[in-house]
Amino acid sequence: MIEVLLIIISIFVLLFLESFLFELFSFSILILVLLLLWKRINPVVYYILITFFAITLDSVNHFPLGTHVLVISILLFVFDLLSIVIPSEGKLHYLTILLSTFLYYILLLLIGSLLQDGAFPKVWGSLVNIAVVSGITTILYAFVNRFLKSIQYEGSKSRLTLD
Amino acid sequence: MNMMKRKFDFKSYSKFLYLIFSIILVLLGQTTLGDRVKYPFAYIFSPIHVYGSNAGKKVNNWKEALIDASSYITEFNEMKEEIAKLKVENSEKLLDYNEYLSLKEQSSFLINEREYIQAKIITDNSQGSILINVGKENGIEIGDIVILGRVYIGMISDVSLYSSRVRLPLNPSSSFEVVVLPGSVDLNKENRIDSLVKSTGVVIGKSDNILIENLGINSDVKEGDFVLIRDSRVEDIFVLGTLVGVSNNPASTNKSGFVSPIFDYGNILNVYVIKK
Repeated sequence: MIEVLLIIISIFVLLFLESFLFELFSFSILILVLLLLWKRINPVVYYILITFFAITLDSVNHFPLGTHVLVISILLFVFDLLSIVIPSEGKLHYLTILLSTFLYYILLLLIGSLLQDGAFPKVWGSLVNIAVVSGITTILYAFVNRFLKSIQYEGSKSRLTLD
Repeated sequence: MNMMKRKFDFKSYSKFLYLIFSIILVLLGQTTLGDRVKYPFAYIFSPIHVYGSNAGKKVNNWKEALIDASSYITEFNEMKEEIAKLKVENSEKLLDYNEYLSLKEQSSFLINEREYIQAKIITDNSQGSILINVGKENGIEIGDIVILGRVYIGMISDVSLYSSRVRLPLNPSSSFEVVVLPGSVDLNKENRIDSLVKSTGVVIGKSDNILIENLGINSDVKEGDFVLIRDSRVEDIFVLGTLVGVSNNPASTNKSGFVSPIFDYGNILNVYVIKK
């Protein structure tokens, strides 16, 4: 029960941060959460949470229903493909993150415009901004990823000591 | 049979299934049902989205203001330059207006048989002298009297080709014989002033003020009385200023005080030189 409550509060906090940061830096916290939670939690829970948040974003941002969900599903496919080509361990993994993030912003722009207006948007003008934001997202991902790994390591070490 | 028994692996097909789901959702979104699905989400989450966006907008405004700070400084400096330019234009207009006023005033006091040369003040210094823009070229000579209306301004003490130095009454080397008249006298109307003289005296420049001495001990001089120059070097009677700070020492054989000039010499723009 408490987990459900925590998830609801987290969604509200995430939505606030998404709206705040997107207005401020055109930065999406959804992609960061999406990549951080990938393969870290139960896939069913993951998909439910992501779908819920994606539909919420579609609703509040006045996107056609399913825009974010479609972008995320394509992104997860590409992310898996990139993981095959680029090793998922080591520093090269961050290149996958960078490319995926870049793709997310491009796809959101493209699919959003296509579904909403039926026209291709002018992406060239936004490429530099998207590249910068993708770089920041990758750096943030690296920090949080290391933090989460250190927590996991501390947890496993204490378990070993107890044994 | 083995194939039938194999458990369905969600993880393997999850992305594929999710892609199908997303396509269905997009198609659903294109129908009227899409809005019905979105409505409860918008109802619940819109306030927090609006709040977050507004907060982001406020911070963004500050961010842009900070980024544009250099442009604001440039704009501020440009505005300062513009203000200075406007002030200069305004002061030029004021100069023209003052020139007009002084000419008007001078024309009402002119003594027709004399020749007057109009001059502009170039600089003034704290040593009790001013520079004017007329010199030998205009026929100015040392000892010429500089006036404005009926007010004495000074005496030419040095002449070059295009400019001259005027020694003001404030100058320590300046001294004149003067007469004191009641402050109630209308100098524009009164032509005969001999009967109105309260006392005679001598004025001496003291750089920052004009000292008046040798006023009759029994004379009824008081603050606000007019001090007029009546000196053989000036050859006419001109107003110097008003009497202030009159001493009242019974042990003294005469009274003294100070003369407050009619004009603040630093603010005069145009003067007239009387050619001998």
